[in-house]
Amino acid sequence: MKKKAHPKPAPPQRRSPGYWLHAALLLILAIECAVAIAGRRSRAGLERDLQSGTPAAKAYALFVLTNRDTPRPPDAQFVSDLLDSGDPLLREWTMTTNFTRLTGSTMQRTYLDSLGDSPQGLRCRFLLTRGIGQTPWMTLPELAEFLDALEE
Amino acid sequence: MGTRSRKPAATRTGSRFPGWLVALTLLGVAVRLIVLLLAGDLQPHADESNYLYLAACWNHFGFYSDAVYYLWPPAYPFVVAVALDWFGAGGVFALKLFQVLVSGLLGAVIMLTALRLFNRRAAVIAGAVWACYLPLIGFTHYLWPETIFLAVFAASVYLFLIWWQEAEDADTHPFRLLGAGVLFGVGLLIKEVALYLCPVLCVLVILRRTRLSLQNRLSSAVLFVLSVAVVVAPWTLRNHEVYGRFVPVGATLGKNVYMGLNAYYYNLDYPSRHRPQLAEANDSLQKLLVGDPPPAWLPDNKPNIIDRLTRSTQQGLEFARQHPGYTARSRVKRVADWVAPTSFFLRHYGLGRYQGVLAEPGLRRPLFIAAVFLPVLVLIGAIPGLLLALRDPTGRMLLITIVVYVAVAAAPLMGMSRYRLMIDPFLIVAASGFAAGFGRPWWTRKAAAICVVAAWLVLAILWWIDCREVIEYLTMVW
Repeated sequence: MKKKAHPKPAPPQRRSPGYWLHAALLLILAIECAVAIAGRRSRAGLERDLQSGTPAAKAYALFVLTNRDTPRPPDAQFVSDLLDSGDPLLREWTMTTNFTRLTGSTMQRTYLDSLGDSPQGLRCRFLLTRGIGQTPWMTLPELAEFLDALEE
Repeated sequence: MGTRSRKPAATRTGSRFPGWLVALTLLGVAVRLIVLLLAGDLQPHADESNYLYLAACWNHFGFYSDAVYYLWPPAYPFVVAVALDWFGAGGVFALKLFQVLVSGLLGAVIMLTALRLFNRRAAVIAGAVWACYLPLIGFTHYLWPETIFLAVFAASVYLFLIWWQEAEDADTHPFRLLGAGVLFGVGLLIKEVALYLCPVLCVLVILRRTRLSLQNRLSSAVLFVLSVAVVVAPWTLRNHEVYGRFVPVGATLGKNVYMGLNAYYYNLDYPSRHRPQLAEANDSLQKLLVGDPPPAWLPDNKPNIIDRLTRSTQQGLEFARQHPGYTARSRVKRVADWVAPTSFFLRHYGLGRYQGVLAEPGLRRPLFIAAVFLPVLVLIGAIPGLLLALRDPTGRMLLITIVVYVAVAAAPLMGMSRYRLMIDPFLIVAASGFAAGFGRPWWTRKAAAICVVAAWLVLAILWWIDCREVIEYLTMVW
């Protein structure tokens, strides 16, 4: 009697490239989320930066604190404090922010006038002047002048 | 599409980038370069100033801010910032030069798409039209993100098209879909207008009955979404960090709703100083469609920009619900503005931006004629191109979906030529396909032929609504 041949076991099914792509993309997405969560700045941390951080960290802290759920009160006193802070970068940032644009334009203009034609004055003038709408904005030579003022 | 091969003619003959395609691409780039040099130093205008402002602030403070009324996606301001950082004030010219070069990619993709969907003749026509299509040429020397966005977006659509066509015939090609998704995501980081096109395309992939199983279609749709998401997610997470809100890439809808779903009417294709005279020239129709507006609404002054823009969207929708009559008739005017043969290229003339050789009547007037008539021809030809000449069902579905998406998402809100630009490359492809097979007996497909005639009729009515304004404007800047 002929011996019955055992059927060959089926080869393990190969995963399609699409399967690995899904997995890889999910992994990248998970890493991106993890990095963002790990790097997320708490309000307390931002407040600390605003008190004692580097000028750049102070400006960024101010940017985030005034945009998140708990906006600082954008009142005249707050704007005045920022302009009197003695920190050029923070003062310049104050000239650009939405909340100071909405509440402190007169104060900003007064402060700006006090700077005269200094490079800082030029920078602040630029930062206070946005280009929305069809009204003429800075000319290219003025932009070049501003970029030069940044170097000084 | 029967037995007809889906592979483009170029791949059948062994070369993916045939000589004529390279030559036409170089021709288009050369034309753009010449116009850039002739245009000289154009002073920044409107949004251009904002992009420069945001870029300069980014370099100065080290992080990306917002533009008060908008939260624009970051990619274009970043490119501007890099240009200013590397080249100083010369960065403006360097950026325009970069845009001219990138536009070559768009030209090549337009020709490859026409080659794939039609034939070599259509591709050559498409390349020639693209090379001298002034509404697109203009944006290569403006500081708007349109040129870079269109190059990336069209390349994404092209890869998506190849994948979708070939997915039915053989094994799926996930890497092409991955490439399409990644480019789509990059495009979103430049301009968010295509955001909702992503779910629309996924639904189409899932619902359209092909040889792929439902499971494979689902898997493909998920792959596309994931590949878009990995590109966009870091910026989405950053937005959440800064604003405490879920904002996938940017927030511009609220401001557009404020301008579009409100009692105001203005067409941004015309300089503001010309608008009263244009309204007078088209007085009866303007009164009929946008006259007697109800009281306007003002945006809330919420400190959080996302809340402010979301609230504006709600206010606009409330306005539309309260005043359906005004909303409906003013939409007709908006859509008419959207298809009117105007462009920012013509607007720049009205603003007096072009000086020197470009402003000489001997050059200016032929350019006017080309800037008006090429879009007219493309719009007329694109309708039969999409509905009759384009026989490949996959390509037809994809292109019509994109056109309808933009027509629904952008045209009724702020009808202007700039919002039509996103579909111009595909309209050029379709019109070229029609032109390449002109004279074929397509009219035997009666249902499609009736649709073409109906669409032409609608287009004619929309042009008639705006024709007095357009003629008046052209007369003013002639």
